[in-house]
Amino acid sequence: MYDVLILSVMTVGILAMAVFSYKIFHSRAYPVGMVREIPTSQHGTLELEDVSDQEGTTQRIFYSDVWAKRHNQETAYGLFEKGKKRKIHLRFYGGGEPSFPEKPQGSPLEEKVTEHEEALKVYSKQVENLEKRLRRLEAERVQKFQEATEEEKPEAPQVVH
Amino acid sequence: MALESWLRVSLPALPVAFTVFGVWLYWGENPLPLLAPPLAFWGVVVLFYLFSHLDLPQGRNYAPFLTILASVFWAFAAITSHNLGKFVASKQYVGFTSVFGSKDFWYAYICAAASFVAGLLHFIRYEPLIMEQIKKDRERLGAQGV
Repeated sequence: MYDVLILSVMTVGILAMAVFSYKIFHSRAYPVGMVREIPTSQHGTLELEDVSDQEGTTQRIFYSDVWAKRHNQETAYGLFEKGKKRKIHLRFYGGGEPSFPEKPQGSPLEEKVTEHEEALKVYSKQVENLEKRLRRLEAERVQKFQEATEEEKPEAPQVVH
Repeated sequence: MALESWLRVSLPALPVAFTVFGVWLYWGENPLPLLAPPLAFWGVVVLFYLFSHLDLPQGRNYAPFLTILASVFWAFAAITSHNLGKFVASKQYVGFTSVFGSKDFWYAYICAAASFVAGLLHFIRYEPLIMEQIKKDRERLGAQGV
């Protein structure tokens, strides 16, 4: 039974391979997708410019032609606070010089709440690091204590005849 | 053949090289039960590589079926090689020529040869096309300054 099965599968398989190979050899073949092109940035061509707003904060504008195309505008630019990755504003304009959009004014209370939240995050992280360090020190202390007690164990008495 | 093409045939041949140089020459073990599956595996990998980089408008369904068949042969070569291994470890094995009397030897090596030869023939046929296309694509990208 084993022999019959293997033999029949082999025969059918080899015949099928021969037929498929014949069909493939007699069909047109086009090599595709061989050489990888360097991908362009998802934002397209970026031009950067540092400007200062009315309050003297330096901000960075970058111009993106991909965004412009996406929104059918002649120009598109984004605004980042210099040195930070978080976007502040995104504006799409139909050409001309981009004007500085106004910074959204939050209430003083909201600003304070945001500040406190950020400070709390930093503080929590510091506490977490301290706890990890404490646990590590505790584990080292226990290990040293165990090593010390093993060394102090009295030696077994020797029997003298 | 270009260096890239040599790389493409050499990498899947590493298991065969390990069996020959490691198992047989270095450790002095009998390589017969271990050689058939890597041979079949070479064919599977080469077919997979070729048909991943070719578009066959008329033979579109044949390419995956051929690769699947090569994989089935790989599986059969592996299973029958296991039985061949038992034969080689038994008292019935008295030398190299005694394996010719074992059915598992023939099953393992015929399946391995089928997969290997399929890969080899298709590689010889299609690798020059692929290399030519690579050359054209690189020239085109070079001209664009990318």
